[in-house]
Order: sequence, then C-alpha cells, then structure tokens
Amino acid sequence: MLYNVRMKNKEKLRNDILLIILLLIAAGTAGLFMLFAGNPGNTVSVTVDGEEIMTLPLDEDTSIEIHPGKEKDDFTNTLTIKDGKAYISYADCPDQICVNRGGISYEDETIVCLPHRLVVTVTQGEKSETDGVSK
Amino acid sequence: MKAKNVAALGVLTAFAMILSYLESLVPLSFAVPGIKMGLPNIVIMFALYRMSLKEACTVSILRVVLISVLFGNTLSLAYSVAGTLLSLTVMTILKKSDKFSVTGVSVAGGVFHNAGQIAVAVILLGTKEIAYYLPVLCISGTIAGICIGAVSGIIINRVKY
Repeated sequence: MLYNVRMKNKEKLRNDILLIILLLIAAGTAGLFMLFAGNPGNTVSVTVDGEEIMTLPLDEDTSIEIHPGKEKDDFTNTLTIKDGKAYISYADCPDQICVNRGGISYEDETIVCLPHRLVVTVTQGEKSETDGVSK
Repeated sequence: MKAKNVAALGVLTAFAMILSYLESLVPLSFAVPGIKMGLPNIVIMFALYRMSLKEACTVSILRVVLISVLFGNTLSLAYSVAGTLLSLTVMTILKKSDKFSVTGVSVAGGVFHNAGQIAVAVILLGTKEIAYYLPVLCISGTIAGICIGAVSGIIINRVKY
C-alpha cells in the first residue's frame, strides 16, 4: 500500500515537472517568436474602448494629450513620439503601467492603459512621403 | 449547511481577502500588468483539497466580488471573475484526474487565471494585441504557481480543521 502511494507520488511529481517544462517552453517559444517577428512600424494607432480615435506617424516628434474618458477632464494620457518611439509620458491612472511600459516602435507592440481603456499600437500604415531609402 | 461549515467559509473568505489586499500592496508589474503571486490561491487550494469544490467556488467568488466592490470597479470585477472561474475549473479537472500533485494543480491554476483575464481583456477592449502579454504572464504564472503549490501543500497537510 505504502509502496503504491510512493509510486503514485513519484508519478505525480514527474507529471508536475513535465507540465511546468511544457508551459515554460510554450511561453518561451511564443515570446521569442513575437520578439523577433516584429518589423519596425511607421505609425501608431490610438484606440479607446476598441474604437480607433487617431493615427500618428512615428517619424514626427510630437506630444499630444489624449482624454479617453467620457468627459474631457475625466482622464488624461499624454502620448509622446520621439526618435521613432512612442510612449506615454504622463497619465493620471492609478497604476501607471502605461507610463512604465516605455517606448514602442515595432509593429504590433502595444501600450495598454486598462483603467482608461486606452490602447496604443504600432502599425504599418501608409508609406510616408519620406520612405526608408531617403532617410 | 452546517454551522461549522458556514463559520469555516467565513474565515477562509476573510483570509483570502486579506491575502488579496496584501498582494495589492506589493505591485510586481514590470513591463506587463497583472503579474501576481496569487496568494489567495493558497486558501482556494485548501478549500478544494480539504473541503470540496462547492466550498472552493464559494470562497473564490465571494473574495473576487468583495475585493472588487471594496477596491476595484466593474471592469476589474469582470477580469477577476473570468480568471478565477477558469483557474478553478482547470484546477478541479487536474485534481480529479489524480495525475498531478498540489504543485502541478497550482501551476495550472496560476497560468489559467492569467489566461482568463487576458481573454476578457481582449473581448472588452476589442484588441487582440493584449495577447502579447500572455508569454510573460505564462512564465510568471508558472513560477508563482510553483511557490504557491509548495506552500499550499504544507498547509493542506498540516492545518487542523
């Protein structure tokens, strides 16, 4: 009986380790794939509540205040574009995760501000007049 | 329901809420939101192993609703409910299969808690890009699950009830 319990426990431990390794490998591959599959994007799209409210070119330095709330003064996020990277430089959300996210510049990279339901995504929009060659 | 059961459920729910609160005091979010130790899962695991699914379900739902009412909003309630229910479902299935130890069950619970939250975030925000957080959350969920599983294992075996 005791022997059986020990065998069972050993088997469970093996299954546990298998599960853990499997999860880590799956996450690692997916992560690496996402990391290296990215192409540099040229526009950022700003979405509030699933609706795109604006797109901005990544090659023009700018800083713009976004008010994702229903009333203009409800929420504020300041989106800054500098040196081809977009980041949130100021936000009045409680967690500040969007500010700490840092800059994004590769296609499909995102900044999410969950409390304000704001998503900023790098996209590959229309070619701008100054293309990659002339830069 | 017996009086002893009611009392035990109350204590467990209170304990899970305290752990939620403690956890919110130590934010672990680096680049990705939602990285957590999952301390309340210790209580849920205890209820699941030493009592039954019914008790585990009651405690998790009560905790999620009460914590959201006290500290969160309707949005955080939606995320938490989805995470908790998915995690509890997966943990129950793995436990019933009798092929994994407490640690394995807890790891799966941690990872699927994150998966449930991301699924709701994708639906509510209408942006599939949030799924990009999944790999990081999967790794953090696994590590947290191992730690919580180790603690839960000790507590499940030793606490008198």
